[in-house]
Amino acid sequence: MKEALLEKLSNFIAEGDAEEAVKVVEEALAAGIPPLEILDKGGTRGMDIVNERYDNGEAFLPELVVAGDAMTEVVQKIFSQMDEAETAANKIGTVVIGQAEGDVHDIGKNIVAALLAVNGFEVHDLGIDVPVKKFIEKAEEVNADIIACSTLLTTSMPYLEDVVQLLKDIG
Amino acid sequence: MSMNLKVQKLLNNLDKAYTGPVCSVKDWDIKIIPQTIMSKLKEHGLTKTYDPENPINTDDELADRFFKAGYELALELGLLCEDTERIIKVDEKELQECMRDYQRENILGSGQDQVVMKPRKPEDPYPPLLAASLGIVCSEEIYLPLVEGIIRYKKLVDVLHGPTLATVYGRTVRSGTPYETLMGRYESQLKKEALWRAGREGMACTGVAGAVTEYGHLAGAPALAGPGNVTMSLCPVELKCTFSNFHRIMQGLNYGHKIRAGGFSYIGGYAGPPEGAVLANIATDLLIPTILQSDYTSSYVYDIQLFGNCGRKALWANSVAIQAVSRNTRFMRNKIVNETAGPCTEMFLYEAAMGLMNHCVSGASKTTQPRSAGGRYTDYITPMEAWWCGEVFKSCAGMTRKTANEIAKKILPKYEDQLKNPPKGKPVQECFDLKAQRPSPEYQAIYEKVRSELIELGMPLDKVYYE
Ligand code: B12
Repeated sequence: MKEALLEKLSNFIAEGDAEEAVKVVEEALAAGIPPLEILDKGGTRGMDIVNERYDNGEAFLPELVVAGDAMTEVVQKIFSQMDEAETAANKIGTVVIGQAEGDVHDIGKNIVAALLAVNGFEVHDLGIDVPVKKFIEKAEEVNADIIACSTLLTTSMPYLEDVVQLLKDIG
Repeated sequence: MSMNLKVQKLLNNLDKAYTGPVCSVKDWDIKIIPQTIMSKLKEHGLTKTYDPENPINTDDELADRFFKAGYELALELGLLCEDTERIIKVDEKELQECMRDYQRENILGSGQDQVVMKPRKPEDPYPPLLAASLGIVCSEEIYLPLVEGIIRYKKLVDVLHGPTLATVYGRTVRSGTPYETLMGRYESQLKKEALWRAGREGMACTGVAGAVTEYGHLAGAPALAGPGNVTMSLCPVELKCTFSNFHRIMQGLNYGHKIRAGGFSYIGGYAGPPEGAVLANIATDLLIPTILQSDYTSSYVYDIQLFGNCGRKALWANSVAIQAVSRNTRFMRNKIVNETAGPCTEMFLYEAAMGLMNHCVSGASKTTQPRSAGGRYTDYITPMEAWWCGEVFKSCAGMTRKTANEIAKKILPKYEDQLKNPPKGKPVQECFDLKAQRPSPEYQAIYEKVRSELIELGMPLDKVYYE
């Protein structure tokens, strides 16, 4: 029964069915399976399935994104069952991600954001053409561990240094 | 004063960006696009038609089936405007009208440097045009001699796009700031100077290569005003557009430019498998002239896992998509090859040769080249790659798809396993003499080796273009 539930969960994550995945998490919790085990066995396996399908060219960017969204909801549901200390101890990290000012090349960034989410990170995606200040404001708001700004354009590179410099300047 | 017809049509479509159906970018990307494409593929029996054994398609019936499905897709989808998150749709009447009224040629440049772009069918003997280079960053101090070298041979390079600048008068350019505005004008001036030095004042320019935002374009385009020149405006992937696209096109029309608008399709991205990218690419080729009023469309299929389009999947997808549109419309398209290896490598020459041979025999009217080392590194571009691209692209006109496919089958294995880790090659300073405008002996030897190998396999490179 436990195995069957966890397998169902991993499949729903891989399929990107957030609603069903969260229902299975609820069932599993009700059946007394420890939250961490649900995350570890159901979540991680789901993530492996998507990663593999993506690498083999069987799943594509949309599948990756919906699987990432499903994983995010599963993680939230599971953390809601834990106390603060436990959540903090098990959280992998919170990431603020975005494309530097002027840059609209978002495909690579979207892949990275989806992969981070599939792998259990809490991801806040600010999208494209993000001003320097916005990265820092968002990072403060969500108490981020990582600010991931990226660009493919040489003329938007200086903004990456600006983010670092502004962080230093405001302490 | 009456309004230019193209401006009128552009405005009609811009109006739709405020009234069309609402759809968020995320829903478009991960629901609407993939679901509509997948069901179209199924409906027309096109899933799993990708044929790795035959990277260059020779099946007209398959191309036509893809066209039919792509045509329906264009009418079902339209382009999503990112700024308003509304869909700009076209009905069949508008699409048919655009196909019917579309011009029979595009005249680019002026005087002695004028060239004529024509719609090309698969295996067409009329040579396609080559614009050089892609917007690869180079050091400010070599911009002039580099461009002068690139456009040196009249029979190889027809149109100037040009490398880009990351500094202007030694200062760092930041995208979307007044530095970019200054850069736009400065780049246009440098290009005019290079055209003059090369004795090709009338050569067409396709806008400001370094115009990351509309600022650079708005600043630099007026310096290139006139009917022989071109405005470039590229849309986000897949089937989306922005006000920045409209700004650039409006400005281009105001200054009498031809319009080159474009959008790319990704294998592995929102469009999914190779077959899905083919459909998205066909829809792009139909929607961009209809909505954005392009005189020709810049589009191609790109493989997200290989960061380029010289692998088997992308060769096949481009061959089918190009043939589909060339067989069924007069729309002219600029089809870029995305090489991943850098200057002074055999692999670059192979990638360019396979990609360009494919685009030429499949029916592209123009290309922009080179994308040396993926276009990612400062100064990793020399005139040599542009010349090679011109030599191959033009020589292949009139070749059959069957011969091209046989050559591709022999050449692909020579570089395929390096596509995941391509050699970066050398910067221009280490493999090209910009004073003498000649490649280094090492580069020359690599070129001669690959060239004779391809001639032996039947590529018609024995015409002399270096004059
Ligand atoms: C597709 C494309 C476009 C599309 C973008 C569509 C979209 N929505 O993304 C369009 C047509 C809009 C476009 C426009 C332009 N482009 Co463009 N574009 C490309 C192209 C061909 C592919 C980029 C891509 O999607 N690659 C596929 C993805 C999967 O790869 P990736 O982005 O590198 O991401 C991977 C890694 O980098 C990494 N990664 C990415 N982000 C992050 C973030 C984190 C945190 C981490 C850890 C890792 C990571 O992981 C990803 C997955 O493996 C590149 C050429 C190239 N070879 O890269 C040029 C390129 C980036 N473009 C270029 C240019 C010049 C432009 C324009 C200025 C052209 C013009 N004059 O209009 C405009 C600028 C628009 C703007 N304001 O941003 C140049 C940049 C040169 C430079 N050094 O500055 C390039 C290199 C082309 C060239 N020179 O030949 N472009």
